[in-house]
Amino acid sequence: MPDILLVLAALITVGCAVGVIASKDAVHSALFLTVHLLGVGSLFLALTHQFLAVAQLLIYAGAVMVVFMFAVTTLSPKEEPFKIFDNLPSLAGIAAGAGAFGALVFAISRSQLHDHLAAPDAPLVTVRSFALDLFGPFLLPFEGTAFLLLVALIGAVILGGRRQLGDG
Amino acid sequence: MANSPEFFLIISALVFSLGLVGMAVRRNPLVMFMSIELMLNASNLAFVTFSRFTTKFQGFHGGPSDGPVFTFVVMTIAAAEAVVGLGIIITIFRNKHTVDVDSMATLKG
Repeated sequence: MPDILLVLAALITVGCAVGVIASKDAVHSALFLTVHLLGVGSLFLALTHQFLAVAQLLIYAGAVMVVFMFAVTTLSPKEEPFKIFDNLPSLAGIAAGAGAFGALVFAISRSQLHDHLAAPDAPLVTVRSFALDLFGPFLLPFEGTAFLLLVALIGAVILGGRRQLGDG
Repeated sequence: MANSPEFFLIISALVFSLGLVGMAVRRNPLVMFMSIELMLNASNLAFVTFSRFTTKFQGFHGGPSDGPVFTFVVMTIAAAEAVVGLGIIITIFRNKHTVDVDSMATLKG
């Protein structure tokens, strides 16, 4: 039963990723991306990382997608000329994607992953141990993310208030 | 069968390749941004998979926590990138009234 749920989550994740790049309408792409992010969150949950699953739900499917929907509805772009199999760059892009997938699968099949597998009784990451690590040894990268968000905030304010700045 | 590292890594590889295809095929900058999000998510999934299944690093308080910390940082970078990138796209749209990436070639020599 858990295997069926896992395969279902994987199918939703991959299917919605296809939907993101294949929808003509940008709004549909954004909605597909939301479901894809929820699917990735459920895979995080299957990998026993509860904190990341909730963070995925809040940060990605919540905050980032709201920004995307704002941009999509503000711009309301006209339908782009959408002919995948007609022009050479598109075919080259699909070939590049297929080549990347082949290379990655080749690398996965050749890796000695099973020599480094964790023992079945190895400790898992819990919310508690992750918090203790994040606010202990990994405090510097955590503070770095705070600084990064501050820089992004200032950048967004400057980009958004450009007209007013130019007038003054 | 399904609960093996290969299963998750192949999903990750598939989603990354789809993001790459979207980046190359689509001409709408918003959808290109969404393709970047796909690729970042695929890398996150690979990080978490390695953290769950392999045992090189055992963490400080029980459980390997380097993969989740990387994923956390990638999520933050994705959020910052989305905010600044969409701000740039909206500014370009204000000035040029188009969102076709092929028309944004002012810097092309």
